[in-house]
Amino acid sequence: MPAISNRRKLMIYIILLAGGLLMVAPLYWSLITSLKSPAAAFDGKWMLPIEKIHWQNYIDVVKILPFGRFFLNSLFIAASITILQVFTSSLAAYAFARLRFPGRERIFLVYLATLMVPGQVTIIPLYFIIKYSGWIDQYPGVIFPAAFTALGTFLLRQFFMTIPRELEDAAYLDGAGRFAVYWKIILPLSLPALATLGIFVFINAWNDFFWPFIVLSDTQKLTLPVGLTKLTTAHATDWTRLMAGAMIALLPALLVYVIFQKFINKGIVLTGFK
Amino acid sequence: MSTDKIKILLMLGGVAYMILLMAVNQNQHDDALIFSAWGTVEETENLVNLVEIYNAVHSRQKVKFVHIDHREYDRKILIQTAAGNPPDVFLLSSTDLSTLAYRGVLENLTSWIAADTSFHLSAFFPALLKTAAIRNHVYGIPIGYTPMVIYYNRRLFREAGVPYPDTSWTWNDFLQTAIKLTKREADGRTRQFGCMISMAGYTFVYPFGGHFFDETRQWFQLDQPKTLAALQFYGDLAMKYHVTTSPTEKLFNSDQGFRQEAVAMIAAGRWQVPNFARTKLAWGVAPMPRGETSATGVIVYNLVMSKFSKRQQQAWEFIKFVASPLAQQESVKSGNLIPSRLDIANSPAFLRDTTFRVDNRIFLQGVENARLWPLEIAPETSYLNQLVILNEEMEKAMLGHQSYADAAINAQDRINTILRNERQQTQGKPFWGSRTSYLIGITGFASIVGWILKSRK
Repeated sequence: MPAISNRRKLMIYIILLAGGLLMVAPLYWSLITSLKSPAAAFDGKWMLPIEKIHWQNYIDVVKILPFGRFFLNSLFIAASITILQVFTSSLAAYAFARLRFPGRERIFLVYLATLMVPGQVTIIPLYFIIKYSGWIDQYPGVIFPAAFTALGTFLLRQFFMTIPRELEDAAYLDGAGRFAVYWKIILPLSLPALATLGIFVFINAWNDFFWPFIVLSDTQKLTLPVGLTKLTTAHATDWTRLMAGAMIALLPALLVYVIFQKFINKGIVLTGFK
Repeated sequence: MSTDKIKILLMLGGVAYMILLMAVNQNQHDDALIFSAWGTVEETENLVNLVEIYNAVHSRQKVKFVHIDHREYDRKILIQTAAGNPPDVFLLSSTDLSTLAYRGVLENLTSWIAADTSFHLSAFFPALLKTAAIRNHVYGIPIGYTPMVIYYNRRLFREAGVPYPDTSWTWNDFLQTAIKLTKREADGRTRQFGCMISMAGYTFVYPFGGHFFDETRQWFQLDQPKTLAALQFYGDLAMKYHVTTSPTEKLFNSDQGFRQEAVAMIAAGRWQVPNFARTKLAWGVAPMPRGETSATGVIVYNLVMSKFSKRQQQAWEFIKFVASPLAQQESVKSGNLIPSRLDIANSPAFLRDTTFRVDNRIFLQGVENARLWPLEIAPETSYLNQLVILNEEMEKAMLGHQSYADAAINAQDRINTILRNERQQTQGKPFWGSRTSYLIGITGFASIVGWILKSRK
């Protein structure tokens, strides 16, 4: 492979740096706005002297809204969805990848086709199901509809199919059952794919707005994205406080990304999923 | 059972336990009357206080306040209604009332009012009540309103040596003031705009003596001379006099521009009073300039009852309470709306109130001729649909792609086509639920099952 010249390398770094700055700029603007007083929210300044930092926005947000409760709700819901979705997807993926049953490929195709159905179409039927299950304004109403996905199943199936069958055959010879093979062979070998799926599911569930907004009403049960809407109204938005709330809400997703960055990069390479 | 299976069962059991545990944390008021509204914490604080006052007196039937984000307000209420789980009472602005009433979501309150001798519509501004009625049927009780007014920046006025607007100013005065307040850089770029009116622009139509509907109130009509003059004036502010942003200069919204002191005058509702009071801006309020008529655009905030509420009697009692003098005195404390009751609006306590450093009398001007802001609405379509179409056609005219007369005719035709189609559809039988829809559904499902089974060898 020919070595990249220093000049070319510099060009690449400049382009990447420019792209990086472009991505970070909105985040930086949000951070700066969250540290400004309401009167200075739109002063157009991108730098803030230390003495002008307005921490009150953060204090206000925590005082005005039950922010801690929103945080715990989001954590509980996102963690539950992640565990359930990764588990159900891996079970289904294993069945579609390894078990032989009539119509397997076609059922898988129909299952995949559900990805093409827009969410708006299923909202009212789904709401009916949640209502008749008695889960309106309850956590299970948010968690269970997200516990099963065709996308997760598809991603893991593709990964499982790359695992050599010989490993499973050896386990069968040692007397292992199907579940033992799934649990002791397939899952340990699929950790990068499971972690990738888990991270993406967690981030999506953490940021999800619409379905929790439709199902939940009680302030004590709201998630962060839904709770933050209490800082906006039809004609005016409390920008500084909203940005302070958004910054706090962003932290867990950011932490997940920083800690599991290795898995995410690996996952993107493995699955092409971002 | 192997250790692994036990582990999985334990893990799943743990998740199920947590879900059930949280689910046990049931609402304390499961049988409570649900009252929904939008707004920030500060804006809804007074409504929450009202609920507490009501609950203190009515121990048998509690009310629970449920906040809904304004961006998805209608959608959530429609979904809840479709699933038979709507809020019993909810706040609805005049822009959305007729559409939801048309869709059969709202209870017709006419018979409730007639049957209740303790409730009198004469206590409210008649023009506000008109906005909550469709073909003489009342669907909402106004609990407050806001007219469109002009907010101006005192510092920029002083700097330009222009007198502050007063109650006598006309649209020509407005234009001349905006011209003086517009500042340009040497390269021709605008540093400071004289005014910004955005959607409030269509309320020009009323003072210019124009209208949005024909005499039968059935069809959209914009191609009348006075309406066209108002639209032309709106377009000229940006394209001829350059005193406001053009469609290609969407640098900020009016709220942002005013706060940045990049715009000297904006048209907005009462909601800006508590917002601007939090800033260090030197600002003032003036009524909309006078035109051929004194009609002014307003948004009315109504309490409505769901047609599918299972507690309609209690819902009516609660609506009456929120519309009562005691409740209105309480709810106007937030500063973002004007009382809808004549007695409270004209009371010395309200007229002399200086909490927000504004003259409340300015917000009462023209209420006797109040008309819907930003434009009048046909119930068969939404105000947003109408507004999007009108904005699109106006933008084309402002950019010189068509005349204002053509913009009016095109917008009129497009909106009337929607109305015509909607009216034709409602006359025919709905497709969903018909025999054909069931037949197509069953055939489709059978085909998929057959296709899957066919692969069986």
